[in-house]
Amino acid sequence: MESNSIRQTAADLRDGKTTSREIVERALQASDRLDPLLGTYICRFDETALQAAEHADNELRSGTDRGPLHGIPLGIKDIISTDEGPTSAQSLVQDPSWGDQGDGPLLRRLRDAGAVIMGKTTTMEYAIGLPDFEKPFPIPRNPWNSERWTGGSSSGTANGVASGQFLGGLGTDTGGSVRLPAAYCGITGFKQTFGLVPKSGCIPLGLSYDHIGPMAISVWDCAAMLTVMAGDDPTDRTTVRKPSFDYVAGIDEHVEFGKVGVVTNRVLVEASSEPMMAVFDDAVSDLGAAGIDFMQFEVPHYEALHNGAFMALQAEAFSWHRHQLRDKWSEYGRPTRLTIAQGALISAGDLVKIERVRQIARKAVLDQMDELGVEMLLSPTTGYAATPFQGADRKATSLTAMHTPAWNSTGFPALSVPMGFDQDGLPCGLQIIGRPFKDDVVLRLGHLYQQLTDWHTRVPTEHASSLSED
Amino acid sequence: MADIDSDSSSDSVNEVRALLNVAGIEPTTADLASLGRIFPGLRRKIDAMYEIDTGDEVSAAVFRAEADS
Repeated sequence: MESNSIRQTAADLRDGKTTSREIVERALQASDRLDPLLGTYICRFDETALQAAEHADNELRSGTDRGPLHGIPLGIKDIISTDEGPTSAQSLVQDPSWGDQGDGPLLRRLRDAGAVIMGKTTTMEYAIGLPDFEKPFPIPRNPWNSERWTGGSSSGTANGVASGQFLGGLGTDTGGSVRLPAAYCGITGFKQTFGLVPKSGCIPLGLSYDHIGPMAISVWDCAAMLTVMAGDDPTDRTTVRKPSFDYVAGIDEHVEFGKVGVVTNRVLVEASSEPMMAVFDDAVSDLGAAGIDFMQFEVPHYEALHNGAFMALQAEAFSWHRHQLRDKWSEYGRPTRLTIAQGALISAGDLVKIERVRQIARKAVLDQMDELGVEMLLSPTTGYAATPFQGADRKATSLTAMHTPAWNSTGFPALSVPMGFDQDGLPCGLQIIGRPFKDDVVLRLGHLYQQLTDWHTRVPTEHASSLSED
Repeated sequence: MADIDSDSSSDSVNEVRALLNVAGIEPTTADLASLGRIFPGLRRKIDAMYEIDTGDEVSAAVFRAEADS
């Protein structure tokens, strides 16, 4: 059974087994207990959440059904503006009035679909820093082992879903910040194709690499969220006009997948621990037993795509933070200011070159996929499982984001699903990468994997709550 | 400069300081030392980009005249 899944809860709501009010009350009780331990929230919207839940219940009783998210509690990463309160970006630098703009198009879509917004969740400072014990913000902790990091930067959304404080939520992903914490916390996270979902109302990090993505227990749940989230918006000129698409419809139907490439680039393999590769090999075997046809795939220009993502996002972030860095240097956390300041060390010409490399590398990957008849790619989401706050293995820490940023450079859809546990009982993530705007195909393969395995249904034994129990 | 980490070459530190000063940014001595250590590696990654033949490919951030029309 998928405990704390949107899919199961949506069914229970319609069967009269529970109400949105009951679910939200359980979620708030869970957060009373777990939030102080796990550092999930920057701020909670208890009162408005309960009001929204009652409204959702009244609508369902009167026959108005807004779909799978109707009455479902969600957490929102605190770099995304909402009507209820300020946006901190988990930074002492951020002007609180920035959040006065209220809901962006994505929040409006979620509310129109009946979702209940529970509060703003923890991140790393401006979605780029590291856990900072010197700043007056909660430290997000991993529900599988609270001495370990959640991964970043969509940290609170990940640990909130994993611990049963809400059923889904929004993260943002510029170099892996949805997929990495999803993998560390044992949940599902999706970075859809760049341009599919508007980012207005979100503090940018690297605007041409940023994505707002869904995070939840299962692929089905992420697909339900994406169905609501997708669609162009005039306030975000990076969005692409596409016909609306139901990513849930037909997800259970059997389809024939084309070949799937297992990424073999040496730099990736060397950045992965032996236990992680053993778990990954098992995942590939499970899919192979289900009839998926694999081949080895060396991604062209992988390091350029990886390094280019980091350098370009630093340059783009610097352009946004320049004045604040000048005026409030010491108020930024040290890792944040050192990372963003590197954007000043990259020239305009360098950035143009990076972007040109990005274009030809993206095309080279697609050309090779065409040539070999490869539909999707697979790799571990991270090279190591969640790193400890104290005594972290330097190699594990430095290599933690080696597997994800390249796909921000290409803009391809990339999904992380739980694929097992390492020798320390920590979750490991499987990354499925697809062709641009073939998000439905990626979600179908992820969903198939979750029909074959039950890793996504596992919950942490110590720091978790069930919203579906009486 | 005595406080600057010995691993940072003075050339790197001076270059970083100059680039940040253009933006009016004056980092702390310790931060400047850290950036001075980072800078050579960053430059190597940037220089590696120039090893890739991009032909006549335009950058992604190309101006589109129709965007506001």
